[in-house]
Amino acid sequence: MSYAVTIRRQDLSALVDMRGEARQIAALLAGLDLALPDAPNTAAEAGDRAVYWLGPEHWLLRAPIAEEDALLAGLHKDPLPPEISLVLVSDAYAFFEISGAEAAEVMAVASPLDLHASVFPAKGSAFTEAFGLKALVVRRGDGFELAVDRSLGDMTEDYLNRVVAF
Amino acid sequence: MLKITCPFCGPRNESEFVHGGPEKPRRPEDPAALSDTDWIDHLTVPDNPMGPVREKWWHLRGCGQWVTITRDTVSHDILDEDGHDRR
Repeated sequence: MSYAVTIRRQDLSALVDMRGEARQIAALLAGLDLALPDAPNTAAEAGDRAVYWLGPEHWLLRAPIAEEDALLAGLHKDPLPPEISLVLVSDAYAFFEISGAEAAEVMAVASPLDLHASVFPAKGSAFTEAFGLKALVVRRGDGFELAVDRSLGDMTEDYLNRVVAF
Repeated sequence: MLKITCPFCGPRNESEFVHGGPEKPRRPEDPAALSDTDWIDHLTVPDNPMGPVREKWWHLRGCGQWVTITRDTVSHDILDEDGHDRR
């Protein structure tokens, strides 16, 4: 038996880790025509850009890698308020797309997070664990995205392929 | 397996957390006024009760916050979860 899913390792994304007061982060994002998500562990999306709310005073901004320079230019403010932190982490994460009718079955092997739609709705995004590693899980379309530290990307890809091949 | 309710993330598996140990009593205002025995007790002798213990857990594989709960060390029941501890 194998699961009806497609596993795809994605190219790098432009990622900016943002920490600080919501009011100040929101003001910076307004320069990119982006808003903060309404609820914890959800995303706010605008086109191919997204903001994930991952912790108190902690967000992750994501966009295609080709837009990295534009993101940084849009967030630039001199001086930056000392209470907030913006860190470019584009090369820190490996993203996997797990899509298909049985994507949730594969995710259930990988992670203990309750991914039922009533708990983890559309635009859900949260840090949790996958295969014992700290991982970012995002619900999208007919499946999920899973991100781990990039140094653990090959191992995670191997784990996912083993789940599917079972 | 415990299911610990994080104030930000909601109920999550114990495996997402790191146990931070019991909440410790406040440091005495004037340690010099204590006897040597009391000072050594404060520094090195932990309580290890059978029953409810106030303890901290770090949501390392989640939102990264510290959570304080009261857990019964005999039954593993979580008696209350009063949220983040930012001290």
